[in-house]
Amino acid sequence: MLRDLVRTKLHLLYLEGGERVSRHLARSVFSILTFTLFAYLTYLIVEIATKYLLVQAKIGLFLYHRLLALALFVFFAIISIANILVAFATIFRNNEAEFLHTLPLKPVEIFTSKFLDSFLYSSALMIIAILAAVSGYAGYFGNLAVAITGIVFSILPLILSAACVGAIVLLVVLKIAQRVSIRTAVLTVTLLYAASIYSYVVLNNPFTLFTNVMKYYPHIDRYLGVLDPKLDYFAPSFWSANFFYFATTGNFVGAAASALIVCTVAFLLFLVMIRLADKYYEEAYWTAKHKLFQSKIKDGSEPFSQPDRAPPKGISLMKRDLLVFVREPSQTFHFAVLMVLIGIFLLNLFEMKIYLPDTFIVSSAFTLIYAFNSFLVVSLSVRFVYPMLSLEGETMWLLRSSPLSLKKVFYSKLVPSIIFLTAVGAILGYAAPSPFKNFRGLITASVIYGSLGGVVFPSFVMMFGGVFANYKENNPVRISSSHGATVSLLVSIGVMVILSSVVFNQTFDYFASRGNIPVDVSRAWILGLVGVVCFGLARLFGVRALKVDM
Amino acid sequence: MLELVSLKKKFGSFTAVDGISMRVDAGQIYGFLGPNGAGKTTTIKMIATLLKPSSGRVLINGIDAHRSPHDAKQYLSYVPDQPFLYDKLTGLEYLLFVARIYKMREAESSEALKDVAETFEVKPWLNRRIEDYSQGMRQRLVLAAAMLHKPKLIVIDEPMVGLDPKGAETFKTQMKLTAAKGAAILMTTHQLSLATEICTRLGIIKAGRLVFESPVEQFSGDGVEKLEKKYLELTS
Repeated sequence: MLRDLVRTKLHLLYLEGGERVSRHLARSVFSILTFTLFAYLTYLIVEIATKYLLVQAKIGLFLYHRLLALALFVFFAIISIANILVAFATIFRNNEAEFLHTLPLKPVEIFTSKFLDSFLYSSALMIIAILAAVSGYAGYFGNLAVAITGIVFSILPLILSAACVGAIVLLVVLKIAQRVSIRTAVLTVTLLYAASIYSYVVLNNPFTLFTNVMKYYPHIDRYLGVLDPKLDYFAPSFWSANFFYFATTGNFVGAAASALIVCTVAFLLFLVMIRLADKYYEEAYWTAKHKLFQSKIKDGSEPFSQPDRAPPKGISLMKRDLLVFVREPSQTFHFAVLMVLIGIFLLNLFEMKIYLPDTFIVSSAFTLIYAFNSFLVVSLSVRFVYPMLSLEGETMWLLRSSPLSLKKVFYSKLVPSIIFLTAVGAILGYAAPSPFKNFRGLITASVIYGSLGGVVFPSFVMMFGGVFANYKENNPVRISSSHGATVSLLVSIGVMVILSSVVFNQTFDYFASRGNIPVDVSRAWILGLVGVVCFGLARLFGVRALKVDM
Repeated sequence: MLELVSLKKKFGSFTAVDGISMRVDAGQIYGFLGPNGAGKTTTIKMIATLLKPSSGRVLINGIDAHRSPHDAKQYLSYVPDQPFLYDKLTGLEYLLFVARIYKMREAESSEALKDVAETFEVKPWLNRRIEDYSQGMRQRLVLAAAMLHKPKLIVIDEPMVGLDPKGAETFKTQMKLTAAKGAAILMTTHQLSLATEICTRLGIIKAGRLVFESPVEQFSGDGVEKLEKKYLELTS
């Protein structure tokens, strides 16, 4: 029974995610090109970065693999958090899950099939990224066998572990929510989760490890595991990176032992998840369905009411969108998580102090912070702006049959998004220079560049939201992890890289002069122009998407 | 009030609506009949501007609905066969949202809202989110919203879906009253008894073509049997 379910799911996944070429040839070709380009760029970046770290920066094989462990940990955390959200939308709040509950299936069979569905649905980009990155690694070391065994015995089990952790956390939250309020349950688990990730990052300060390892120079290729914080042993990402270290240095026993640990952890986490699902999925499903989101009978003030005269239609549309947004738990929860992460990042930026003698490196460091800021704006855009048009969905008959300009509908979605993300970009831009000496001279330029990102990225993403609009899917999480959303994320990252190179170019002289020459912001108009073009494209494709035959 | 001129819709090589010309005047309730797949919903969607015609025109109060949609739709209310609604809004919020879209003033909308909520008996449910509504209650809410701004033209696709006998009775009474006040109503239905009971004119569509049109009086007396016979004769 389970096998049939999984087979059906895989077939549907192909039809939904892969989009039939005969129907969507142009979009498919564009998507394939984007994915290929992304994979190739990832390959190149990893190969070049490996060469730089080992040949020029001479950090040695041990430290290199500890940096790899840190990167894999971030990767692990991202997948597990993403899987909490996607699993919630797929396993609990989903029409198909509801239908499956009417069939003679065991709850755990439904859970397993839907877990695989959410896992394959949300991890496609991550899998492509990691395959390309491992290929870049193998390209540098010239060892294809390490890459292949690493993907099979180290990376894939790590991804599966992350997804299982996500699903386990979700089951625990829903179990707790049966006794306390959902807010308390989510808050408790979120705080515990954030605290464990934060502790891990703090206790694994790469700067401390770097200083300690360098004491052993020039023997820094040797395995200096004695310097590792003991907490590391509890992270599967650590063993995953260890596999690559041992395999590359020819210690196949060490590699096999590391792979065994990663695979065992994945297997045990999967078993724990299935056991928990067997015990709690059914009640958790009903908790998610009925208890958590039972609407309260409303009284008191009325959000659409206005004294004397009717408000502009645009305002009513925005109020509707806002109400629908705040009443959808998957939207508010993810929004809150991202805002907390941005808050933590801002606090770290204000506390961080970077003293680097080399102009190239210090400019690169500032550009990296700018790029990360932009990535946060891109992530917010893909998660919340991309689904906006699709979410009109099958309720669009009302707007389409009303005396309402569809341009107004479009502006009511994009303009507030731009205003909000421009503010986020400006705040991040204000904080970005603070780790640097003579940072005050950078603030104006940084705020300008940060704010412009708040115009460029949501517009750009909204354009893709129009091109790939899917009015049959009404789940925001699934829309923002769809094929089209992934393409929009990748292309936005490409634009982000181009904009970051403009920022690097504009701030290099400032750092070279130790802050004596003011930052030249004269070329900010390029970003402004990019913003205007993106806005125009978003309007063109967005309004066209709203006019499509229903 | 509504005039269709040589209206045609093609989906690739398939012609769903093939040059329909018809009119619905003020005060008239037009029953648009036909078998499944005949093109009723496609025609209605073109009237509601959800579908663009391949050729031909839709005139609402003399205004081309596809050239000047904003002006034409001031007069229109559309009720789809499957009323997808904003599940996270309450019934009241939904009705007020519709009122705002039609630029109704507060005093005007409050009175109209009270009126339709009582008529369609949705008042006790107005402060609940739509996700809690049954299919029938959703249908009542959509009908209430459709009547809110006192439209001159009402286009309804399968109005009785999900309505209980009392809801159906209310619907019939309201349609008659609304038409008596001068509105034009176009509705599709498979219930021939409903068509003979409340419609003033009937049209039968087959394979995208209007094959029969007549005042309902032609089927007076044992109307349903006569209509059924005619319907089967034309559509089989």
